Formats: sequence, structure tokens, C-alpha cells
Amino acid sequence: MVNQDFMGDEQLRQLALNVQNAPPQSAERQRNLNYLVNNILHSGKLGHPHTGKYPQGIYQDLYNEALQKTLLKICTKIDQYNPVHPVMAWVNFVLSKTFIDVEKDVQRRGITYLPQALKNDMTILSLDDLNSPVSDLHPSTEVEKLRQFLKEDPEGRLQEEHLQNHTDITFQKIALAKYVDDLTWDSLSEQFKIPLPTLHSFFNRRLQKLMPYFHKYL
Amino acid sequence: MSTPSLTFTVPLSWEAHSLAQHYRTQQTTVPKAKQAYLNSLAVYAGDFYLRCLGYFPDPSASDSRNSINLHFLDVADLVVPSLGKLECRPVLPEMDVLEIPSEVRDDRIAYLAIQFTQSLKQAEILGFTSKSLAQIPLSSLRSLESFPDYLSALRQSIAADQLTPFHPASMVELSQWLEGVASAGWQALDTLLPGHSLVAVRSQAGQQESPCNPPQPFSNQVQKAKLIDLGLQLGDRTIMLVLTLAPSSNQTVSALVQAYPVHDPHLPAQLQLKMLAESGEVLQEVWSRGQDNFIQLKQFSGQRGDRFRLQIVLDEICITENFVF
Repeated sequence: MVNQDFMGDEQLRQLALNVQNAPPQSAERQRNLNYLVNNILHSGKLGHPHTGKYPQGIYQDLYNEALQKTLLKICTKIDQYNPVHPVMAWVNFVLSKTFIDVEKDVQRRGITYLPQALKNDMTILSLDDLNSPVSDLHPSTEVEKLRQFLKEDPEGRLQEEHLQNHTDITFQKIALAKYVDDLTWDSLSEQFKIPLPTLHSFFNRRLQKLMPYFHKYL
Repeated sequence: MSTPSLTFTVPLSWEAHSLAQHYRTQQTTVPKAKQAYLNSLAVYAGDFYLRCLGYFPDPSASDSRNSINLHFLDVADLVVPSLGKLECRPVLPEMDVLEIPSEVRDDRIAYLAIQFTQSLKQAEILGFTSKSLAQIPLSSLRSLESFPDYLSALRQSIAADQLTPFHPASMVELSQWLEGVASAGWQALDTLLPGHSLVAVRSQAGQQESPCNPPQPFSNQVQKAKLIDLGLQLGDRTIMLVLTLAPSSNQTVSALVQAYPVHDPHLPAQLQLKMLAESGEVLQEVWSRGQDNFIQLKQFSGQRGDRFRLQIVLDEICITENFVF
């Protein structure tokens, strides 16, 4: 089954039945769910509730949110699909209900009629946004606290942990070089003359072990 | 030319982006902030994909969801309980390789390549790999077509490793039942649930017949039941496992295994009942669809000394019982 084909109603129905008939949690069911989602998205029959109601930008985001939630509902409740109806009728039914829920939720958060979201939690950044130097990135107090914590090591535990056979290469040293000096792992590996896998095995595991210590002071 | 690779598309809106923003604003430099944002979106997309397939990933247990980790490590892992960590790597629009940073080349069950559009409003899971190399060409990725099988095989091999060895203490000796000796936890139905009647019997064709109790054992049969607790989160999820034994000729004993709900009229949906060989190989399995009053395995038989395991599986709960004929 090629996922780029646009399926007719009957084929889509059969695909949904294939999902239902495969054992739950079986690889077969999961594969067919993937096909089902793809074919729903490419069906050309997805509804667009309330198109005229919103400016284009806001509508796209509302729609995406509703579509995403709808797809998950379709997948997790596929056993409730009644083959008497075309699959897309069911999907669009769920989509229009979900769209209303998303609308209500978004209205509650107050962004609907604003051209640009002002609150952080309703911002959608693009790659261009991520690439440009933005002023909203400033070292918060949390970040400063981390820097100080690494340097001061109140209970001395960051200094205690060191690489086997290298008492001078402590967790603290690595953490400072990584975080404060912003060195890459490759350059740290070169600098300390320790192979990357060894460095990571040590650092990654100690970090998890020391996490309660981090949380205590940060 | 082979069929195009199976991919999976995830629309990304406020829920995805507000979460990504949370992780982004903890970083101090533009490159790290960008990485944190993209990694968060990628983990979100991976989590969504797995949940659509019926898995229950645990993002909160993942390193990628702990900001402190993100200060040091370019990590985008997603914990899948009972399986391990799946790394969800972001791929930018013009890239043709998947980059795997050194900090995540160990301790991962697989890597998903997740490509974003310029607007970041859509993610496409292009495929997966199990190779932990620094760079993997996108053309070398395995299609998502094989991902469910890959995870399934992984789950089976993990389960096989974790199966308790068959020692006497963990095994139920069915020969003893036939001699009238009880096993811990296993009792006659009446003793286990006095006065409780189990609802309708399902006929071969799947139609519901009039309600009646499970077939009474014949005089030479032995029937015992055990209550199995599937965990409390979903409310009462106690089921009853019923084993009916009948000695037949030439020293074989036949066994019928059934699972019944206890407090609900139906079994929970997607409850699986499996029979495994000692090796862990699945010999047969059956599952409930949510409207079932009980499920049962096909009758099987064994001779004295033959061993098998039964597993009851619901979501991530997997209860194993070991038996010897």
C-alpha cells in the first residue's frame, strides 16, 4: 500500500477495518494506523470548520491544534468506528467538535482577536525566529544560579566525582567547561585526552546521580 | 524503485510550541535556545506518533524534559516504558543527513528523524535508525513501515530476558491440582468469589448467548481461579484467571484458560491473554475488544513436566504466571 495514493471511501473504510481487525498493540495494527492517518491527511476530504471566522494566521493554528487532537482521537478510539459511515464522515464529525473545544480554550486564554500572540504560551516561533538574535533571551536568575552553583559547589559533591584514574578530571571541571565556557564535547574530549564515549558515560550518569543535589540548590 | 518510505506527519500548534518555548527560555545563547526549542518540538512529535500507535510514552521521565540536562547535553530522548529511550532528532528543511550528537549515542533503542517545515508548524517523521553514528544520510533511514515490528521484536527480547527462571518457588504445579493439593492464590471459583456469578458465555460465532456461569467442570476436571490485579490507575481492574484441567488418556492433561472481569460486566478493551513456551516464544494469544464478557485461549495439552507461561497484558502491566504440568 503506497501512502501517497489518494484513497476512495471504500478503500479508506477497508483500511479502518484492517486496523480494527488486527490485534491491539500488534505491529500490524500500528502499521495500519500509520497508513490510516496518512490517508486521512491526504484524502482531500478534511473539513475546514468556520473558515471565514478568523484571520488566516490564527485560523491555521486553531486548525492545526484541532487536527492534531482529532488524529489522536481517531487512532485511540478506532474500535469505536462504525463501518456503516464513511471514515471521513466520522473524522470530520470529530474534527468539528474538537475545533469548537480548541476555540473555547483559546478564547479563554484571550488571544483570538490579536494579530500577534503576546503571551509566551501562545507564541509559535518559526526557524527564522529561532535564527535571529532575540532580546527575550536573557540570563534569568535560574541560569545565574546554576553558574554560581557549579562554581561554588556548596557540598563539594561536584568535585568528589571524578573519572577513574584521573582524580584531576572532576565532574565540576567538566560541567564548568561545558556550561560556563561553552566548549563542545569534542573539544573537551581533546582537551582532557579522554575518548568521547568514556567522557559521556561518566558525565551523563553522574549528572543523573547528582540531580537531587542540583535540585536542592536551584 | 521500491515503494516510497512510510512517514508520519504531525501538525504543530500551541501546545507543542508553548512547551518548546518553556525549554528555550532557560537557555542563554541563541544556538542553545534554538536547539532546545527544536528538540522539544521533536520529542513532542515523537510522543504524539507513539501515542497514535497505542504506546504510552513517558515524557516526564525523559532527560530531555529536565532543563538542567539541556544546559549540558543536546538531548531529545523520549522514555517508552518497558522499552527504553527513543531519541527524537530534529532535521532542518534543507538537510539530507540525520545528525546524532555524541551525548546521545549510547543507551537508545532507536533514533527517529523528524523534519520540520520552515514555519515549524508541521513535523514529518521521516524514518528511523538503530545505528548510533554521528551522521546518517536520510536516504539510509529505515521506513516507519518496519518500526512497529522493530519495537515489537525489542519488546519480546526484553520480556524474554526479564522472565523469571523456572524455579520451583515461582511455578504452579498443575499435577498437584489433580491430586487435590492447592496452590497459593489459586482457589475454586466459589471460594474465591462466593455467590458471584460470571456473566454470559460467548459462543463460537461471537454472538452473546443468554447469561450463565462458566461451564461447570466435569467430575474428573479440576478448575481453579486466581484474581489478578492490573493496577489501580484506571479504577478497578481486577480480572479473574480461570484454569480448567482435564486428564485425558496417555498421561496428557488438557487445559482451558479463560479470563473474566470481576466487578465490571466487560473486560477492559485491549486486554491480552498470552501463552508462552518456556523460552518466551508466544504460542498463542487472544485479546478483548471492550465488549467481551470473557476471553479464552484455545485448549492445549501437555504431559507431566511440560512447562508454559501465561501472561496477562494491559497497557504496560504484564503479569506472568509460570506453570508445569
